[in-house]
This record gives sequence, C-alpha cells and structure tokens, in this order.
Amino acid sequence: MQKNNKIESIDQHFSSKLSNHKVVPPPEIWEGIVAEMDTRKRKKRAIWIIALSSAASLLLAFLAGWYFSENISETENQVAIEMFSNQDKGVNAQDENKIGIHKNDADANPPEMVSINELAPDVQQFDNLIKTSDSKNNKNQNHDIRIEASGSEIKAEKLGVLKPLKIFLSKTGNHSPQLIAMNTDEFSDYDRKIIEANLRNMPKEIPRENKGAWLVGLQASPAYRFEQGSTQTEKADIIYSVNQTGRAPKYITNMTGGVKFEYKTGKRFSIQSGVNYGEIAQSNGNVGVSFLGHNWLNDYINSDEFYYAGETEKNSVPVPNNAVVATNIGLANIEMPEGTQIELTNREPESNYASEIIQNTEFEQQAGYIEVPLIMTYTILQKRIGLYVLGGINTNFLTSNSVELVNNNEVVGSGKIEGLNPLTFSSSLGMGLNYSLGSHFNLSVEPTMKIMLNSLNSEAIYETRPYTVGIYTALLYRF
Amino acid sequence: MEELTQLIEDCKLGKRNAQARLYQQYAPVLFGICLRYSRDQTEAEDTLHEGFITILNKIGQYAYKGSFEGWLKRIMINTSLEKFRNRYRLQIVEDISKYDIEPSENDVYSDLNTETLLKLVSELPPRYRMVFNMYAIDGYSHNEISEQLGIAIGTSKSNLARARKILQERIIEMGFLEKIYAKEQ
Repeated sequence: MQKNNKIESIDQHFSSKLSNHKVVPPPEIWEGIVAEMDTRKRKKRAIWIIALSSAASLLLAFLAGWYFSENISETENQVAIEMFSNQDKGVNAQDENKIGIHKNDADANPPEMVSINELAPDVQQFDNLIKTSDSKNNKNQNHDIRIEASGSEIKAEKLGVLKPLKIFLSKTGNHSPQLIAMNTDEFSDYDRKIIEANLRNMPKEIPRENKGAWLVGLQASPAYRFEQGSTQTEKADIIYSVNQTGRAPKYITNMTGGVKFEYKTGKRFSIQSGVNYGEIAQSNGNVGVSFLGHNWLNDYINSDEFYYAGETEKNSVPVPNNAVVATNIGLANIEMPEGTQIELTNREPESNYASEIIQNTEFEQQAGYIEVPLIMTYTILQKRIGLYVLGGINTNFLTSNSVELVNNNEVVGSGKIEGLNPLTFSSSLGMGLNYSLGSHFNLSVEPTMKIMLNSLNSEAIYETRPYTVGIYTALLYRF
Repeated sequence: MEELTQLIEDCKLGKRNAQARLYQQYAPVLFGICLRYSRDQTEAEDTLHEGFITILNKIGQYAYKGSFEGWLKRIMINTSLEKFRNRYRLQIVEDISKYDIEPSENDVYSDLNTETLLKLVSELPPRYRMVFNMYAIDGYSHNEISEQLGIAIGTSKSNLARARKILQERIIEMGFLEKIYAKEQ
C-alpha cells in the first residue's frame, strides 16, 4: 500500500508540475514554420501550374488532333467525276452533257448525273489543275477527252470513242476543288497509291490566302484588380489592420493600353507582343498614421512598450512633417509641410493597437508600370468571327510611384511607397474573338486574367500579388 | 469561446495572421510537451516546428469534438512519438519486479522545481521517457502506449517501472547532494 502510494506520489509530482508546464519557444521557430508553409504553398502552386499546363497541353493536343482529323476527312471528301460516252453506258441523249459524280466511294453507288454547267462554279481553275496533273503524271497526258475551263464554264469535248474517265477532285475547306487523280481506265493499285500520295500532299498544294502575317495596332482595357487571399505575412497583416482600421483598400479601376503587335506563325498559332501602360491604384479612408518615421516599424515589432499612446486629451495637434503608413502593398513614407494640422481622433491608450486615426482623410497610392507581354494564341474557330485562346508572360517595369494624403480635399502630404519591385512578372490567360473589318483591319476582344507571379514589393512582409481582369480590345492593321 | 471559434475558422481558411495568433496562444504549452518528450532543446524545437505545421495542415479536420487544446496536445504528442518511432526501433522486454520502488521515509523530491523535473525526465533513456510521459503525465493507458509505440503491454509496464526507478534514484541522489552542499555551506 505504502509502495503504491509512493509510486502514485512520483507520478503525481511530475504530472502536477509538468502537465501544463509552459515554455515560450525561441522566436525563430515561428519564422521557420512560416518559411516552410510558404515553401509548401509555392510547391503546391507549382504542382497546380504543372497540372494546368499538362491539361492545357492535352487540350491543345486534342484540338490539334481534331483539327487534323477534320482536315483529313475534308480531304477525303473527294468527288469522283466519271465521264463516259453515252454509247458505253447507254445513257439517254439528254444526259450527254452531264457527268457522273460519285461521292467518297466511286464504286459503291451509281453515279449521280450532274450537268457540267452546274458543276462549273465549284471547279474554277480546272484548266490549271489538269495542266498540273499532266505535268506530274505522264500516265494521264494522253487522255481521251479534252476538258477546257474558262471562267465558270467547263467544256468537255469528245475525242473519238470514250472509255470511262474518272477524275478525282478534292474539296478542302473553302478552297477550290483540287484535282488529285484522273484516269481513263479503272484504277489500278498503282493509281490508288498515286491518289493516296496526292491526298497526303494536298494541304501543301493549297494556295495561301493572300493576307499578311503581321498585325499592328492599338489596344485598351479597363483593369479590374483583385487581391489574392492569404498572401500577406504575419507582420504585414498586423500592421495593415492597425494602420488602416481593418478596412480593405478600395481599388481604383484604371484604363490600361498601348501598342500591340501580332505575328501569325501558322494557320492556328500566333505570337503577340507590344508595349502597354497600366497603373495599380488604391484609396483608403480614415487611415491611421504613425508620425515617428521609419523607426516606427522596427519599434512596433521589437518593443512591447511602444504601443501606448502618449497624449489622449487633444483632438487636434500639430504633427511632424514625416509620416509613415503601412499598407498592403508597402510602407508609404510621406512628407508634409511644417505646421500641417490634421484632425486626429480615436486614441486608445490601453490598447496594444493604439494609433492615431486621421479623420476625413483619403490616402491614395499609385504605381505605374510599362508592360511588355509575350503571348501565344491558338485559334479554335476560323469563321467570320474567329475564336482563340491565349496565354503567356508579361514583364512589368515600374515607372512611377506616388502616395498622397488628402485631408478635406487638400493634399497635405505626398511621398512614395518603399520597396516596390522595379521588375515584376505576371501571367496572362484568356480567350479572344476577332473580326475582320475589310481586307486589312481586324478588331479583337480578349477577356483576359493576369496574375502576378512575384510580389509587388521586395520586402517579404509586404508580399502581395494582385490579379487583374480586363477586356482588352484592339484595332489592328494587317500587312 | 466565440473568439476561439473565429480563430480556428480563420486558420482553416489559411489566414496567416490567425495562424500567428494561434501559435502565440498555444506554442508555450505545446513546447512544454515537446521538451518533456525530447532529449534536449534542439529536438524539442524540431518537434514543435514539425508538429505545428501538422496542426496548420490538419486544422481543417478539427470538428469541435472535445477540447481544442487537447486536440493540439495530442498532435504534438503524436509528432513526438513519430520522431521517436523513426529514431528508436529497438524493443526490450524486461522483468518489472526488479524495478520495484522501495518506500522512502523522506519526501526528498518535494522541493525540486519544474525545470529540474523536466531535466530529469528528458535525461531518461528515450523509450522510458516516452512511456513515463504518456502514462504518468498525459494519462495514456498501457494498452494505448503499446499500440502507439508498437511494443508489448508488458514492455510498457517494465519501461514505466524502470523510468520511475531511475527518477527516484536520481532524485534521492540529488537530495543527498543538496544536503551535502547545505552542510558544506
């Protein structure tokens, strides 16, 4: 019994003193946790990017496959034109000026009789095609029928006793029919190989549209900005809430635009670039300001004593000419003329988060950027209104940076946001519609989302990567 | 309570500010656990780092069943056990009776402070430290300990007995030394 009590006494003794024992861990542990969480987030994001890229590649591969299979089926949609003498086939006299047409399978169904004049509009440049065929295929030079094409007319002239003559034409898309084979006899295996070879070569023989590959013009769009969630770090969050009374900044929608170039690398793909100007602007009401300059930030983080406000009785006091405001995109350092008076209120001496809140004050920030995009587009539909998808990378050069403190409609201080990255990158993803205005002009509308790939601010505590959505409209000249 | 619920919900949304507040609030007690289960400060810091990341990643699974602090502590203990399992896999089966504690007339350890007790626990051999912490301080049964550590129930009991024995010897030794020091002064 005594032994058991003793055992329990040991356990209880340790338990009572250690079960809720608290030890404040060294501060670097939290920093390590934050760093690892950020790394994991980046890895997760990278996995998403890879997954999305793979999905996009698969989609492109699917579209390409679909396109080419459609092309092949279009090519296979050749028309067998069988010309024969009325003696051989015993056709009626009124069918003399008609030719037999087989679609797809010349042997499976009886030929449909179509008059040469009906067919003529579809068989422009027929004369040239025959000449091309003759020069390629000596076997077909001595056919028994002479066909002449002039404008929309085709004339077939009997030359002696006719044997059945089969002419294979191919209709690819909107292009004129192409001659792929003709023969005076039933097709031999050799002929069929020639036909197959011709089929394979067909796309190369399609004459290019007589349109230029370059486009240049102007584009513009409103840029609606949004903030990504949970991108701010711990310190930035705290500072942000203290200084801006927890309110989210009001983003100002700016127009963005500039010069746009486009080069069509092929039938489906094109590359876009250019030079655009855009702004990131935001405004806050009733901001809290610390008037202690740059040391404020360090003091805030390192000192427990700093939070307590000194004076509480005044509602209007003269302020020093240097003020600092921490915002979600960086620390704003503002210079004010000597003697500037700002109405202050809402001091909270007991609160750790005491700060001086300026009444009736707007705090406006603006950062200007020159953007150089590099965008790839892929055309999905080539109709009168074309449809395409686009994606790429933009390089942004910081060109202007300003903050203004506006009190009762009067600018009482101005300065800069500190630490803004001079070079940032963003990705673009969107889709576009284009419409030809005559032979040289082109109108395009591209709803596009741009996501910042690195932070606007080089300071880690102000990590912010906004994304913008715009409807980029461009008028381009084609040459 | 509402404040805690809000904090948990914000953490579930991945808000860094909320995660920081959660850490500030609970890191001291969790670090206390890590120190008990670790052989030294460095290992405890590693465990806290690892365990807190697990907490942040799994907080979405917390369904408000049971105490939140209990949930946090359990994750931290499990992290400590996981580290232990990865490091020490040797199993020892011993006879418990040889570690019977002899009754002592003097309560020689009643004056020892928390830091000294913590030091004594952390100096225990790894397995004994685990078992003693789990059974004597965190209220696990031998059955649970055997499952968690992958050892036999008998082993858990013998480890506990051995841990107590070592602690008692060390405490008596320290008390004896303290008395010598007192006499010398």
